[in-house]
Amino acid sequence: MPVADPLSPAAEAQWRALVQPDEEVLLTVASDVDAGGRYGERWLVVTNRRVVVLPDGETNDQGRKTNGHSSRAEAGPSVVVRPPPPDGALSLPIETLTEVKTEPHVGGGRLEAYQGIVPVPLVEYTSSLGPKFSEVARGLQQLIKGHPFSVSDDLPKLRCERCGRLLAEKNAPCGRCVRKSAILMRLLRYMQPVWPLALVLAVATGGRTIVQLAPPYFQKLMIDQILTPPLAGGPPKPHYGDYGRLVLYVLGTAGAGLATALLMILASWLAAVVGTRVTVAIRADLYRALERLSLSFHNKREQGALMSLVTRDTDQLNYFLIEGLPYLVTNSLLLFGILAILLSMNWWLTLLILIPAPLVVLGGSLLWRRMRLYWNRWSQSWALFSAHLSESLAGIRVSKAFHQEAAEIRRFDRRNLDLADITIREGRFWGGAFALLNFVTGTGAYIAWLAGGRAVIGGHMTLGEVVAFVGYLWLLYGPLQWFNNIYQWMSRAFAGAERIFEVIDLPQEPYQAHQAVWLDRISGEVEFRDVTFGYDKAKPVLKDVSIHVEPGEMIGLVGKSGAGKSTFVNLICRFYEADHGELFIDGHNIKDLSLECLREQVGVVLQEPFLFNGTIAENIRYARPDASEREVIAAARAANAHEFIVGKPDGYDTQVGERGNQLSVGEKQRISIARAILRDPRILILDEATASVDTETEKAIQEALARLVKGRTTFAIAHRLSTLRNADRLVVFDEGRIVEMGTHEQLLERRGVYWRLVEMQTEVNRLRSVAISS
Amino acid sequence: MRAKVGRLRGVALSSEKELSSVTTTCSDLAAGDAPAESPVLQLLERREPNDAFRPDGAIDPARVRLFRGPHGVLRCTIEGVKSVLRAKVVRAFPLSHQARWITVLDAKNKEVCTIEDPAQLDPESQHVVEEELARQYRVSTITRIYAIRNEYRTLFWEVETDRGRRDFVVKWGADTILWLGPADVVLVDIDTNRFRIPDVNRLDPRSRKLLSVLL
Repeated sequence: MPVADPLSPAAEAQWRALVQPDEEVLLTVASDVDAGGRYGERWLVVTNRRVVVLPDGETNDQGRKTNGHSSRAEAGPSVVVRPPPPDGALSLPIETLTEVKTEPHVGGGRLEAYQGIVPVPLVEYTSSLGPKFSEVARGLQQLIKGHPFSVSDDLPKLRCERCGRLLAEKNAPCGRCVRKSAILMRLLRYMQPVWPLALVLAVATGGRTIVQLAPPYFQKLMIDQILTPPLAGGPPKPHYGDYGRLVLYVLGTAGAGLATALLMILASWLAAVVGTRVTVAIRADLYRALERLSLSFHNKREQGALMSLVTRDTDQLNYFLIEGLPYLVTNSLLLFGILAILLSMNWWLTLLILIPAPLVVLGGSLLWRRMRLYWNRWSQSWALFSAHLSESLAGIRVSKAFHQEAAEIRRFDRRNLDLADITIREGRFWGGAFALLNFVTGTGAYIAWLAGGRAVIGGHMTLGEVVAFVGYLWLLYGPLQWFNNIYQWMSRAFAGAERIFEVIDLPQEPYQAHQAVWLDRISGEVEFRDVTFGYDKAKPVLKDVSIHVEPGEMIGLVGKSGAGKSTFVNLICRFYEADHGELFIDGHNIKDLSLECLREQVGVVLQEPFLFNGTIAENIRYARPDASEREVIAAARAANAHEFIVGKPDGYDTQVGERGNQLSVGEKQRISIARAILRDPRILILDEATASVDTETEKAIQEALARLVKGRTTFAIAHRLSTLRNADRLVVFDEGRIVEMGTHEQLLERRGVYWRLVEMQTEVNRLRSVAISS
Repeated sequence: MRAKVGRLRGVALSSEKELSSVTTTCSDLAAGDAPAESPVLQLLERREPNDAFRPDGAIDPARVRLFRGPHGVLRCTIEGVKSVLRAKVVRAFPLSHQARWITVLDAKNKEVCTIEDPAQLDPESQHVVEEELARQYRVSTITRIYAIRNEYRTLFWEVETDRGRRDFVVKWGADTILWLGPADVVLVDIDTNRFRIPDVNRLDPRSRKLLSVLL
């Protein structure tokens, strides 16, 4: 979605009065809050010379969409106290501006231009337009610096571009406009490998529909031909009282019933196979995409939402394909079949019995809606209940320590009762509503008997016809009750499918780039040239960073948290790509280097070592699954981990538990170092590798690290500066820039940022030792 | 920058004193002297060399003045202590105590002071604080509900607010539908905009009926 909004006619008129000759408009953009703080429009015009905020007109277009929201501002007193809006337009020449930034508020924000240290408020906006104005601020910032003005058009979509409806989340597919046919086509493509089965499934479904139509027809034949005597003066009935024929018809009915059952078994088996195959294939594609998508994607998406994409959305789709789709197809076919038969039998009676049909459809959908409400409440209540349960069990030490068991029990009892209450109410409603709906459905039959019976008495219809009518009626009304529900079910499943396909279609990390350079053994030379990068482009975390690192050098990265150290190493791993500037490994631009080759030769030890569920040996081997036991032990020994590992009853076969929770932090850390050693990386990254362990363990880890860094280019981040005493060079970061560089001694002599950090730590350590000794 | 190190020393030292003051209070309690106030309030040493701050860190409102400088920039002066050129006010309890516990921050988000009851400020400061809070906390008050559509635990709202008509989307969750009382609810939409219904019972019947989806 683009940042720019085309000027509204009113704003256009205002702007025409203000525009100067030879002035080039670079951007026109609307905020969604007016000068009085109400929802409305406020226009910002950026030209090559100045930034202009147009005065609020009273001519706000009704219902105009300003990227985010309809702005139907209505006249009325505002409770928000604000200075009165300026009479004229606010106009700020670019050359007077020093900075433009966004000031976040709760539920909104404000774009501010700085003239020196004086902030001039430009426009206010709601949180919905936050990303848009961050981008505007970034563009203006470039303009101030004399760079060409450009803004990204890659803003999140808030509304459906077709119907204008708000989306359930940013960039989500619109529930109403989901292109059901396109998604169906794509799902069909997934059916290709199993198409013979799918074909049989289709035939079985159609066949089932046809045989389901037979029994009422046999009933009609039995009654009219065999069971009712011919009327005086009526047509002759040659088969009246023919028992053999009756047996034949009953056998026909039974045969149809049996065939229905068999086809149902076949169809549901096939549907399970086809549906599951399709879902498995989609889930596999999705997981592949998730593993291959870049970290910037994973940072933006919530883990929970991705989990639910793989589990709930695919499950939902599977369930729909297995249960919903066959139901929909069968019943649609049945509906048309029955209507055709009924109309051919007696068109006016058909029309009569359809009178309650709208009521049934409506009742079904109302019932469904209400039911969903109960389910919602129930699941809400259940979520609270289970959240409380898991939380209170996890925090049982704290409850006991603060003697709050009784309060916890009271809270549990309340949730438990809430849940029971909702379950009872749901059950009561379900029973009552269902019975009522069944009764309404039955009214069709009463009409059929009333009107049909009268016709039979009058001799216009036969008894068999009426009986068949009533039989078909029940077949007709059953699906009618749930049609609405099925349709919604389909919308939900397809919206899920669209979410899945969207992720599958995203551009992935370039693992198999065509002209990528492959280096068997990189020497480890790293160079940053004027690199600027920010996770949010409006807020760069690294600014114009340049450094040249020789192969085998050990670099210590120092600075406050948030100074850019971790971001610096993230770029070396190419988890992200620089916004500006270039990064070279062994003289090759990192973008030309094969990603596989790069990641194979970079090893990382993180502050919070992450172990996967499995044995210690498996975790060490994660780096190189083909490593021999000898290599695993050698790596563990080098990591000072061998002794504690063999001290465990199961040695290297010890299960580490989920995320390694059976081990201490120091143990996990040493295993992760062993993992890195086994990898034999050319470039080693130690991100706070010893931050969360005691002094003795730190010593063991330090020894292990000293062995590990030998002969490799190493980047070590540490808050405890003593950890970095072996570094060849220290690089000091401050607010995204490299401010100092040199050896420990050189930097101490400079008495700059590094010196101050050292002073502070010495002071803290001194105080700590005083506190311990006293 | 030397001063920074000094300040750090100050903090560390005061934390040592904290420990000693805890022991004193405990022994006092043991001796049977019932303290007038909770001992917690005596924990903090005075942070500035003056009498503007009480021992618990709260400030004497008579010493605080908030006003606007050029371009409406908020300034804060604590009489006899300091003056801040670019101040910002925030609520410490934005939901449960809107009118109390206002913290003044400087441009680097460091605390200048916390005012328990802004009504005790002078009228001008009080007015400025109200203005700033109204700007800082854009919470729309819902006056009428036109429609609520519930699609799989996502609620699509169309409402009239004190700031005009608006539609928004709320994902059902404990952190998006905040009940402050039995009839007082704050809704946080997917873009983190906030909407409040201070008293559900004062809405018109139709709006209340639509709202039953939440109950």
